[in-house]
Amino acid sequence: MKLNKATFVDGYNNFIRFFKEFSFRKLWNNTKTFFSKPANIILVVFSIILIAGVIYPLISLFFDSFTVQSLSEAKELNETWDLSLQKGDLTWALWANILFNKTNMDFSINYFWQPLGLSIVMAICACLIAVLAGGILAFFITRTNLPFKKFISTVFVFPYIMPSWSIAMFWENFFKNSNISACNFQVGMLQAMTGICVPEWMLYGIFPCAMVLGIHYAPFAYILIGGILRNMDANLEEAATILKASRFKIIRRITLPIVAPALISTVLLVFASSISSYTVPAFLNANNSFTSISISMRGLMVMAGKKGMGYVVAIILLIFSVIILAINNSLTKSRRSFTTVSGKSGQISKIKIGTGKLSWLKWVVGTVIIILVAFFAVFPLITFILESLEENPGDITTITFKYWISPESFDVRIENQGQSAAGVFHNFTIWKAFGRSVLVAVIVALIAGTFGILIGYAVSKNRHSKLANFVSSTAFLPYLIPALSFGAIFFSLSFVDGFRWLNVSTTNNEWSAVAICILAGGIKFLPFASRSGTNAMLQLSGEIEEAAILTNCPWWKRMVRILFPIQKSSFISCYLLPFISCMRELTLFVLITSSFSLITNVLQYFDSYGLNQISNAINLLIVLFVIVVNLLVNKLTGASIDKGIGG
Amino acid sequence: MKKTFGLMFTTFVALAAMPLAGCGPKSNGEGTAAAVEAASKMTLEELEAASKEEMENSGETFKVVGLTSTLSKALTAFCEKYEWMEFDVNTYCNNSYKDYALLTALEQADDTYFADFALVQDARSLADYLEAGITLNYVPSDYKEMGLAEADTYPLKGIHFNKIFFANKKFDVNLYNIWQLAGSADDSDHLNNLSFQSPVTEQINMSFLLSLLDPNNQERLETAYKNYYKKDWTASENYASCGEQYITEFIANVSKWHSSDGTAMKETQCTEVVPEGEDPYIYYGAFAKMKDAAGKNYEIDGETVNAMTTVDWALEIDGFNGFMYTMYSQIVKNAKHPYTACLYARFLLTPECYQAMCYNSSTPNKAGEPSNMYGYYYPCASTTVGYNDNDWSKAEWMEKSIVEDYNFLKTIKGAQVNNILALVSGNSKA
Amino acid sequence: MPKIELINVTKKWGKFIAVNDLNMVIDDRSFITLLGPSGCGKTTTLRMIAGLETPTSGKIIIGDRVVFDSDKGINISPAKRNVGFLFQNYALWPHMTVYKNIAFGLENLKWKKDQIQKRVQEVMQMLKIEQYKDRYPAELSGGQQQRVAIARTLAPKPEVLFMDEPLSNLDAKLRGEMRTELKRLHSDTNSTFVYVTHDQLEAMTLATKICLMNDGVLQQYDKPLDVYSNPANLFVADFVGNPTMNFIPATAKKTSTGISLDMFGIKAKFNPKNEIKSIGKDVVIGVRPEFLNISPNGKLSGLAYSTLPAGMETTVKINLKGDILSAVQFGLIDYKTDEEIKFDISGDGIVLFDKESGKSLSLGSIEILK
Repeated sequence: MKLNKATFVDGYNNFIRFFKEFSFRKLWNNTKTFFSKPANIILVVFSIILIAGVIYPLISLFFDSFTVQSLSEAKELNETWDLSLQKGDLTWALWANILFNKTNMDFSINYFWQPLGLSIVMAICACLIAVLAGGILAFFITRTNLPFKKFISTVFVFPYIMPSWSIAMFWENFFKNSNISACNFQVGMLQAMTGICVPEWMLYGIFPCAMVLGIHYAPFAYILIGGILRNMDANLEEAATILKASRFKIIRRITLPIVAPALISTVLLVFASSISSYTVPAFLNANNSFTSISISMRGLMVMAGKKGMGYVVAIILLIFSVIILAINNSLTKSRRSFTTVSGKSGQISKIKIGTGKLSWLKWVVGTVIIILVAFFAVFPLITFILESLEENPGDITTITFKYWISPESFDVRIENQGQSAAGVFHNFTIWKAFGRSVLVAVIVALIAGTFGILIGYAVSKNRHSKLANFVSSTAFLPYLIPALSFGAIFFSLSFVDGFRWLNVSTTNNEWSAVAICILAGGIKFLPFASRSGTNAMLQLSGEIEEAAILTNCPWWKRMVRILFPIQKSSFISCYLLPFISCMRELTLFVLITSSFSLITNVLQYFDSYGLNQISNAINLLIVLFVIVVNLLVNKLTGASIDKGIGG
Repeated sequence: MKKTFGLMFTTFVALAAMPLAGCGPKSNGEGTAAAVEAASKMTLEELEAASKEEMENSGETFKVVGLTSTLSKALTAFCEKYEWMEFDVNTYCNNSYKDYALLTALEQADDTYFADFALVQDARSLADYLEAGITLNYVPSDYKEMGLAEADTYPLKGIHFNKIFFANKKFDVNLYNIWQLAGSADDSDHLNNLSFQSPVTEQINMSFLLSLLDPNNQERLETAYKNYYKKDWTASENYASCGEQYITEFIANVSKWHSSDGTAMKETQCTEVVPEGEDPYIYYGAFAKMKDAAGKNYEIDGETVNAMTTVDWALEIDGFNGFMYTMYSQIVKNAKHPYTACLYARFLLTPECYQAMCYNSSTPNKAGEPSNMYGYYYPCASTTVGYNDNDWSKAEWMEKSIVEDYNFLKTIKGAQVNNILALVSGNSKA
Repeated sequence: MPKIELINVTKKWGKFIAVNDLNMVIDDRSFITLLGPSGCGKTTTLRMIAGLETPTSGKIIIGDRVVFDSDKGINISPAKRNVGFLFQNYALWPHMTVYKNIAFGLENLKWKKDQIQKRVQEVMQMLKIEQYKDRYPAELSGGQQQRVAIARTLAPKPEVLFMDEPLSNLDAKLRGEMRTELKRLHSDTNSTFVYVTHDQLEAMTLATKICLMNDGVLQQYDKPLDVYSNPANLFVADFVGNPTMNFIPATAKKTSTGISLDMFGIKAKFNPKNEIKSIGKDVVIGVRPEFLNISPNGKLSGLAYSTLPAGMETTVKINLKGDILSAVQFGLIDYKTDEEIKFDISGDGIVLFDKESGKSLSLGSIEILK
């Protein structure tokens, strides 16, 4: 643009006009108008909460990966790279040290590259297993005349409700055998029943990790894929039938392409959680044959003088996850345009498994599926019961009830710490921790669920606004932050003036642990709550609320009297998943709790004192509790994990 | 309802926003340093008076942190002795930390109050803390009279522990030279099954491996080498030092990584079986876990067998039997009760405290004579502290073990640690 | 009772302009329909007046109260505009009974309990839904749901009633009945109705005034018959009327006595009612089907394209040199395909449009010159 007199005159006029028209009154009025909409208030409030609770921790974690964490770290970096760093200095050398270690490249290979590569392989396998198992079952349930559907679909979600380490424990209990030294030649269930000894690679290492994670996330795949299959307009398939497409062709050319985005989305989400899963590889790595990237990260984080490198790994994992989230987001956008939720068209005719003389086939298939499902859903419970009853692990002849009913202490050292080491029913340490766990889970569920619903509300009211996009994607980010690093962030928060009361190690008060766990959990478990909250809100036509607005119904009353009752089961589902996830969480809380704060702490504590029977009993308690709560809530309110995931 | 939401929001926003602003002024901890320095010059009576005054003027609890449950027993005894201390009233002991959690927590002490007294286990981390002034070293003015060697005052020793090689008695292992655990299966009497806890999760095992690089300890290795291989050790293309060779071969020989020493001790007990043709397992773990075994009995063929009697530990090994290490008494920077912390550190060194801490009725004692718990050793010279039937004296262990040397470990370079870590994760035998 | 005024109201979604600089005055107690094809901005306009949507700029006045002014930053919440709104899908609350649905709004307005009961009873009576009092919406038929929705909207006695295609979910028969009742309701309740529809017949039959919109721009705001007989432009002419108006392209030339036309070589003269100042060369002649008079003496001649008897009247499609025209005749007639038909263009309701701008130039009559 050429500058001439006219431009200046224009500019000057605009300038003057701006001042003439500008008035604080107008600004005030506009602001008032903006904030007169509750959805806008929610968006603003949550952007602040999420900036403080998600973005700030992320940034600080990012800076930590560029900051010399301790003196010994400074020493190491200075020696290696000929620098003169001090503790607290910013540096790139941490990245160089873990990625391309100058003095020992084996270190980089063994603690970064190889674990990363293997973890990617593991995560991909876990995805395949989850999607195959979950997808095939979803197909059977929605598209065939399989018998026992209700039972199968109820029980099939158990492995997802259960803590993933409990499945790992089960795997070990089941497959260990007298040929393997790493399990100390103990006889597992399989060997006891059939005499079969599986090779070591089936018990420990990358294969069982992928299997266990695959089994854990199969219900997740089942829920997401099943949701699409169920909602898919049957006309789409019917149209193809009329056009004389074969069954197989319909599946290949119509069903699969429509389900594809959900499949890919499942794959990505399972991949993201598998690759940073810590507990499963930690359990199934007794022979040190498989170091996952998460094990390596945790190892670095807890070792003296390696913490900074741990942060680097955490950031790299995070970058992976963010890329995955971005891909997922762009895919789900197209997914919406693919699926049509149709009320009118009837369910497509079901494929019959075995017709005519072969009609018995469906019973066979049904029974096989039931056995498979029960194996992973019910057997773990049985092994936990047995392990809590056997004096000598694996020896069924030594059954005793004393670890449940004895009022006497099993370990004087535990008593010396002011705790109880009595049988489970008399053990106040266990029950207090259990109570606190339930309390934390309930409050976290209330916070995450309510926040999720509010975010869902605000986002659905402002679908095109940038602020709403920001809030909804930021609310999903905590899903991708590794639990341990998230916990570490809150841990360091508890040493800041004004937050000291949250630090159980300074206050010696378990309520501090409860409070900080609520804070950490409330944010960490927000993602699925906000996702399903948004889904539930989008299903409601805006007019339902507008009809109430016109009658002068205040916002809170609209939420409580109109929106909530209509989408009751979806909203309660928003509370259910955070509750269950929180109840079984350990990694997130381990840094910010004492050894007795929560039931998972106590589980670990008794385990470290070698009281296996009690730790198995606690495990059983946790698993049973979440399953019973899930079934109860499901029965009473119709809410379910399915809706909680937003499938 | 609206109000409740509002309240919830405000609280949460306030909470969430505070870390952004909450960088208060950093304290320099000079007060603590000065107090510790002053305390080091005081007589016991002066120190007691200072502690009394300090506690009476303080409305807060005296806080002790560490990794061993004996700390709270020591605190109980401390409170019995001094009337201005009341157990669990104006004192608090957290001894159930995981080591990394305590180390992470101590780092916070740099600019905030965390605790008064800490019993620190990892020598290399301690070197960091002392250099950074996160913890402060107190030396009792009468340490000589207490029977403490000058070398043991910096950092001030609190209590000794040891990790040793042991096996299940029923296999009758023949471990006579430390090189049987290194080398290869071609060596005569090579022991192919070694169980060790990964130094990634167990800092002390890292210290043990690093200590083998100490020239003094390398000499022991070289001697044992000569006795075993009947030839002098010489540097080769692969190994510049004997310690390096031993560490490399030792790690390569690990065939099981146990998850905790408690498990290791348990695994030696009656249930252990070894398949035919396999060597019996040699475990490396904390001798202190013997007290767990001591409390456990098995019924075998109608007979009661005490688990402890199955553990074969009193081995005559050329080279070394294990590793002696120390937990050090430290005053934490920004301590609110530095004088009391010093007094407590001194109290830990008295026989009366040691006896209160480590004489335990649940372990079998010598007839009529009180004695220590297995694997806990008194740091000062003493004629009154006794040892258990099933244990050796501290002096004997010191002689037969590699002893942790703070001054050597302080010089360890990060790269040396990385080398060991690389070897550990490169192990393909387990 | 209020008059509603829209001044320069504009609504944008990003770059898309939904409503462009709309000016309109809705008189008190009138029955206005906002008419137009889907996506023309009529619903948005309605929602802006009700306060459910915030205009990008402009000013809205209800009665003597400014309810929205972008310059002053005034935006009064919908609840305080004293309006009723009837939604296309009724938006009944599925978890409340019919009674509760109607009473809920009154409770929010802090009515007294006995008053609420009385009023609910009253509106239920008015809409003949008393017997469904305790049913849930899902247990009602579409027509019954519609009545409940109307009852709910009427209960608080709104001064203005907005309706967003309220009949579009009903079948043809019910729709007819409901139209009658709505018109009746309008006179009974004595309030202003603003009604959105894309059905021109509905608009014609119900409204006192039609506001026809296209692409966010107001096309014509007039009484139904004026819109029908004197359309402002080609769009309006085409949108209103069924069968649609015949458009015959022609060239025109102004002469001293009127305008001479040339339609497919047929010479004709147009006698305008008003004076036409200037005229372009290309024009379009708009002829309502009822002005195409089939008679054996007709001066024009075409071929029968197809015949569509509807009982009371018959629509005849005539092929005039490639252009298909519609004519409506009373009674039943039948022509064989491609049979010759003679006809005239009669009456003075013929519209002359400028082809380029599409604007109406004048009404008038046509004289065919052989």
